[in-house]
Amino acid sequence: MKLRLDITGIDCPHCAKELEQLMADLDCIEDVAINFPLSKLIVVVDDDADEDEILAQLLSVAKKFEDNIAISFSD
Amino acid sequence: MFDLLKIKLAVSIIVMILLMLDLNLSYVLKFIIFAVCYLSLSYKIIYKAFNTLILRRRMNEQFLMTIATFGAIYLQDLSEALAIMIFYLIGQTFEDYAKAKSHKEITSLIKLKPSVARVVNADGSISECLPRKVKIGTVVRVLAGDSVPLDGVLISDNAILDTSAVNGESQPYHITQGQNVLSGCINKDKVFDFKVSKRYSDSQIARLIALVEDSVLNKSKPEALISRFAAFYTPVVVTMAALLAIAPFIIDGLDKDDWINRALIFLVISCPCALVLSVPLSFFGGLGAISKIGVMVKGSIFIEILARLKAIALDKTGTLTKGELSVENFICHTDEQQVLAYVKALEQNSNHPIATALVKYCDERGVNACELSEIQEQAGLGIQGFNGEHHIYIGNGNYIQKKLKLELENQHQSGPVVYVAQDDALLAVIELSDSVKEEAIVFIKSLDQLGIKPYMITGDKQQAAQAIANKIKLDSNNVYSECLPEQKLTTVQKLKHDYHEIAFIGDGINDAPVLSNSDVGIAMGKNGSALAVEASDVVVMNDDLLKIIKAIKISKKTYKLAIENIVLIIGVKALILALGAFGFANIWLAILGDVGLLIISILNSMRSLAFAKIKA
Repeated sequence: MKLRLDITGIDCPHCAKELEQLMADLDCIEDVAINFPLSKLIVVVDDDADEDEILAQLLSVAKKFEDNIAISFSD
Repeated sequence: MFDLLKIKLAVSIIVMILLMLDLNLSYVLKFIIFAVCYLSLSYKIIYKAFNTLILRRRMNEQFLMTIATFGAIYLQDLSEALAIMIFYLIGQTFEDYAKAKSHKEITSLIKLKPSVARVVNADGSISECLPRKVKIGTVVRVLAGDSVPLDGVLISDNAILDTSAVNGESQPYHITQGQNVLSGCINKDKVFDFKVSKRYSDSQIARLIALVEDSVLNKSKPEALISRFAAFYTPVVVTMAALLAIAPFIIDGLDKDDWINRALIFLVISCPCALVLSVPLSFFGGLGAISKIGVMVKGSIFIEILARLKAIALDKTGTLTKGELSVENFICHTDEQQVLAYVKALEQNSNHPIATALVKYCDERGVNACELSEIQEQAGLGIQGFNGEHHIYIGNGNYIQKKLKLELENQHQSGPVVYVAQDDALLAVIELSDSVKEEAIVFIKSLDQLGIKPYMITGDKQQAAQAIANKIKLDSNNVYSECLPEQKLTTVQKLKHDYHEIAFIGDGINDAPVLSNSDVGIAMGKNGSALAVEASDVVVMNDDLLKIIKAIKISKKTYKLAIENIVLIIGVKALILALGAFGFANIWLAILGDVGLLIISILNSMRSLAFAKIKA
């Protein structure tokens, strides 16, 4: 299952890459990519994963990485 | 905020120049002026640098820049310290600009992302709603000039749509009541209402936008390489900077200021941002340019493969041909109008593809159906009727032979043949064929010019396949006919073995395995099945083969551009590092190398956005 999220507050493309790597290390994440120019975060997770739980985990990684990063589900 | 930054930058630049001039001021006074300027410009950066360092034990680029300025202040080069911050901020601003620009420009689709749907309530009033909250069956109004927010069926009498953003087609598209309205199209005419038939997340526009956004999951090799390169580049350069700074304290006879200066050069140039931003941006611009011509590519890896492609396998039906039958030959032994009147009267009762083609043929000739009774259809074989005097039969060879005990001469036909008989006499023979797309011949020729070998793989009979191959001037040795889906797969795998990489173009449901097994699966989006579009890597929205040629050309240019940027950036950075290490470079060159390179490489990568304008 692919989840599409909006991500804002990343400083530079290089930071985006680092954050991407940290997120990829999460157990619940199968694949992850940050589209820096479009401010999008795409994650591939298990089909029956709990979306809100995933979001919480992503947020906690982001919080540890830098202040001011906001992640929310795209409409 | 942005304007405040501009003012701060402008003032700082003036101060920087004043500091560079040898003004007859005391160092203390200079330092006070500098400090005010420096702190107002960079307090946020310094805060962020130490915040991240202390709370998260991580050195970010703000930290590296801050350390670089501290070094310059230590060396009493105040103008240099200010310059590092000024140009770092200019670089950041430019990065934001590039980001915003690509956000707006890279895909015209994003602009069409509907923000609101005007729902028509039962009492006729209008309420504005988020598209994703609109339920199936709701009636939605689209004002003139607005984009259609969801997929649905037209309720108003007719509408004219601009579909260019969805499929690159420049001709306005005319639809009438009951026909499908696709989201992402623009209403070119008067206000119309439609009934929503799909949820927003399943709509055309949402799927297309998701395609573009998800493309980052499929990274090209240079992009993947850069991610890895960036991961070790910064630590290595920073470590080297530290070693350079420590060197004079360990080795006697080295000038401290000079070696700290060398270390600062390393710090200033330690951020790989130019590389990390410009290379994906080149590919992304290429993806955007290709999407502007109505072709969706699901990731930069496919741009890379398209750029190197040496062979393409093609499906026949629906790809090289229109996928619909038409009358090729009408051989009539009697009154043509009368025969066609029978044909229409009988065939309009059937929805078999052959019947559709025959009715269309009659309509084009303005034939009216005559009165027939006792109509009976034998599915897949033929149909019969009675006009009060005679029995009329229309059907394939087996049907006519069985019905009339008539011997038919054995014909070598590439397509289906239909016979018309009255009682026991044959009236007419109608030969049908699947017509070749107009652009197929040019397509094959253009592939040749690009050095790409075309192969045709089809489930159709050998004669039919050869007939089409002859028409489009495709080498008959490159035709694989009568292939079952699994044989299609093995044929493609064999070609993949021969050419290392293979693209496959197809549309049918049975193409899905081949599409996902080839290196680049190209699907025809208009007539193609949803499964084929899902399994593919590239989707041609309006089925135009020449768009594939254009997409390949754009891919070649995009790939070249990305490699150019990589060579340019790594080359310049390596040069400045080398010069810096041996004491030939100064901070100014490093700043120029960092920010100047960032701006040049971003501008260079944005050229790919304009690639949509190249000729096919």
